[in-house]
Amino acid sequence: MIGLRNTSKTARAGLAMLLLLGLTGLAACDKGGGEKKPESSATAEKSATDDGFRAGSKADSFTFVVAADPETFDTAKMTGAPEGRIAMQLFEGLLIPGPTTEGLDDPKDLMRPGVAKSYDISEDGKTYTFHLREDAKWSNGEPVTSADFVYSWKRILTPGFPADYVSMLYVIKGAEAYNKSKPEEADWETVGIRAPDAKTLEVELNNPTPFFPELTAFYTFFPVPEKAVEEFGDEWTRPENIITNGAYEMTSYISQKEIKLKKSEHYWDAKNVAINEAMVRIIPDRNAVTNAYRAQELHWSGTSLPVSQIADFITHPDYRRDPLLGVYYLRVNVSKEDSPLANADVRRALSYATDRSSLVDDVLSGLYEAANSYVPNNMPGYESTTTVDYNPRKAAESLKKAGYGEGGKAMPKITLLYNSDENHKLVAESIQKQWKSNLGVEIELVNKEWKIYLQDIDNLNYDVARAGWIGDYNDPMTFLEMFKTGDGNNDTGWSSEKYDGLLEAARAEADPAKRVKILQEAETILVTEGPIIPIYFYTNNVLVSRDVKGLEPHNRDIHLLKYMSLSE
Amino acid sequence: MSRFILKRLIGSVFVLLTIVTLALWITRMAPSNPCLKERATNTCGCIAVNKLDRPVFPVYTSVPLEPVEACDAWEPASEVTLGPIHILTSGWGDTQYAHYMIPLLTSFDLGQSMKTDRGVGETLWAALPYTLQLGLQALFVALLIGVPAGLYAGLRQNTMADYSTMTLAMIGVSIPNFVLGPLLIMFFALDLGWFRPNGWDSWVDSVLPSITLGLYYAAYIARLTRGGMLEIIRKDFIRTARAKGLTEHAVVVAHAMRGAILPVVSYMGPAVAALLAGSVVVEEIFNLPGVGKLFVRAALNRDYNMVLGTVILYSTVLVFLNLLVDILYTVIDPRVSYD
Repeated sequence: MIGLRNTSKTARAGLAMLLLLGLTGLAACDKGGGEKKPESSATAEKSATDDGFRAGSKADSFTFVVAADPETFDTAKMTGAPEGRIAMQLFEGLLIPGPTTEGLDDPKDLMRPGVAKSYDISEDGKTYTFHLREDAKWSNGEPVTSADFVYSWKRILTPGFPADYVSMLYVIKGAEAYNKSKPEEADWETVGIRAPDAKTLEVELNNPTPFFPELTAFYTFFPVPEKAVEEFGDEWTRPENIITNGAYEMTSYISQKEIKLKKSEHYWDAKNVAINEAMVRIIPDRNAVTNAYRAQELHWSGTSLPVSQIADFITHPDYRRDPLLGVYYLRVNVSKEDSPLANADVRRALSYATDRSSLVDDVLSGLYEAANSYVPNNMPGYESTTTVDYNPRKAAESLKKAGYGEGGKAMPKITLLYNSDENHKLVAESIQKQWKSNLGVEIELVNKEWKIYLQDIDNLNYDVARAGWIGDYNDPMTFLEMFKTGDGNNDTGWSSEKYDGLLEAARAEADPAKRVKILQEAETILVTEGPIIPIYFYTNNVLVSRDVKGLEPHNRDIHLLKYMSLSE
Repeated sequence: MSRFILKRLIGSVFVLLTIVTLALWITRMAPSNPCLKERATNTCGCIAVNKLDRPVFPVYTSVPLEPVEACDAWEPASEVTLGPIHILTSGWGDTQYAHYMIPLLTSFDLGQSMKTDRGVGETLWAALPYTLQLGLQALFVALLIGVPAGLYAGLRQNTMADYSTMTLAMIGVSIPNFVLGPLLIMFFALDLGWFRPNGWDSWVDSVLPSITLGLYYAAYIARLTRGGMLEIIRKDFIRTARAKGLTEHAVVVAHAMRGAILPVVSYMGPAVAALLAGSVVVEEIFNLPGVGKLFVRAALNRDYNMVLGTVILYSTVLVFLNLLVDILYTVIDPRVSYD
């Protein structure tokens, strides 16, 4: 949308009046709407003297937004945030995330009992035994059993099943081999998933995996209703067919428009679920979200506000800046041998020459937090030991060491690739200026549409490119693992035996303290040698109506309606 | 007349087939593919399900997605190397074209969306009513404003009334809907609170989008009608009508108007098609769950089947409307005959 928010009120009124003159013939049409909601204009006038606007008061049920039409409601097939947000309300894993991550240092505190009322871990940390609660039920009243989990996980792991996130289950013993075997050779007996009885589930892992409890709360690990899946096939997720085991049922879904949720009466914790009905509006455009919020149609903006509008909202009591477990960074392509970027000193020079604080404060209105490391600083139970500094002097030295700059070779022009987005453009332009002034390096900005950007990244057809990563679980591994040799997310051509070895050692390490040390060492290698330049840590800038209680900050932006309520 | 209609209908089928074939080829030519995501995922599953490891046409292969090599890739019938060009061949049956066209022609099955787990047909069917209603309402707005304004200006040529009406029309044509839409939202939805800023739950919610979409066409129709009126009002038969002593009202309504709106009628076909296709921007601005928004998302996501579905829908509407306009022409203008 156009940037009218900065024009003065008089100018806007003038423009609108000009339009009104042109629309005289349409005045009659407008009357209908005017008669319908006369009170809103009064509200709008009042709001100027009040606190701007007050949201949610007009909505009948709890209303929030997802930023895209969910691609699927099948938890086995989903990958995106909008799908995940709906899935978290409809389904429940063995464990569930607590309402907040704030103030939690021990990753163990992040999880609460879900379908499993408790679990035991074997001494070597590799076998988990989950004890399912007796009263866990599907929305049709049937009990949720360990066989449901075995069925669901087997379904995902079935060779050829189109589950995008199937690799999440590879922590389970034999799972990867089973998934990658030929259909006729796949042997389920080799996979470490057992159900000794209806209420016990045993899972054997490849390694002691401290974040496994959190994985069980990830949608890929959710149970799916065997009965509905077998009966309706791909259509089991339609509102008329779907059976869920979470706090809510889906009552209707209109593509591109809305999803309606209703509290499930069979949910084991139904008595503590305060919100009876919820409406999820699908609004991809962030400006449209803020407009809907201003028109008192939403209790929660759901997605982060557009940067261009932050200034209008920043002082409003409904505005919140929540932490997010994510990092915005630059990828550096190290695979081209003739490129100066193959030299670690050049990469270090670029990192030293990046003034993250001024970029965040001056260019991005202070919305995010300058990244002083790669793994976000709000990761419970982990603290980076390496910091990335802004130091132009060191930057120049580093470049000189690589044989470029004064007295050395001329630095060839480098391209900086980013996908179309106002934010990315601002960041890229700022970095272009910083590298030019601090190092004299010429940067050419290359802007591409999303899918082409993805292809270029995938094909290593770039020099430097923007990137972002939001953690899948609260463990540094979710950030570090992607840079191991050959990982599908590496996309930089970088490979380090030492780094890979450290990750392997961390995987096998049962002692949490030692494990953290190993991961810190790996992060140091990645940041000092590696193919990445951290820029900032994400935050989530949202609007939440003051009528809403229980919507606490969560670093993975997971918010369960079951914890929330609306004040009268 | 019926022979003409039949001939045109058969011709239309060929036109549509050509459009689908070209569209299919072009979608596959676009860089990147539907299976590529930000995070490394199970690309092989996506490729296999969508048959992207097949050649597009028998002697043409565009796709070779990189990860295909790791998946169970399609085996070419033969490989031909002509200098720098390397061609893989296959039978017709094993092509993406056949996989798409056979279900389409035999059961009018538009296939599955490659992005969502829903059918293209049902998704389009759910979105179509919004786009149709929006388009028709916008057309109504356009005609309701455009025709009277054009007639009014045409009958008062070179007067203040003519100039001011045409100036407004010029403004109407000049304001793009991505400017008008947000302005209307700001004033009527956010400041006055008369309408909702976006979404579509009742008829009232469609007022602002209809105006946004229709106003441009109103202005254009006003100019067309004015031109038609100016031309017709100078004709001999109008002079005769006036000489007979008919009232000015009778002359305009009974004689001049039919001729004056002829240019508008011939503009109707393209206008309706443009209104439906033009709703893309308006649907985005007002967040309406219509076909236009689907099309944009599908193109950006390289959702080949969804793109083809919308292309088929739009081109069918366009072809059908053009036919309708030709028929309508014979009704309004007795001089036109196709027999």
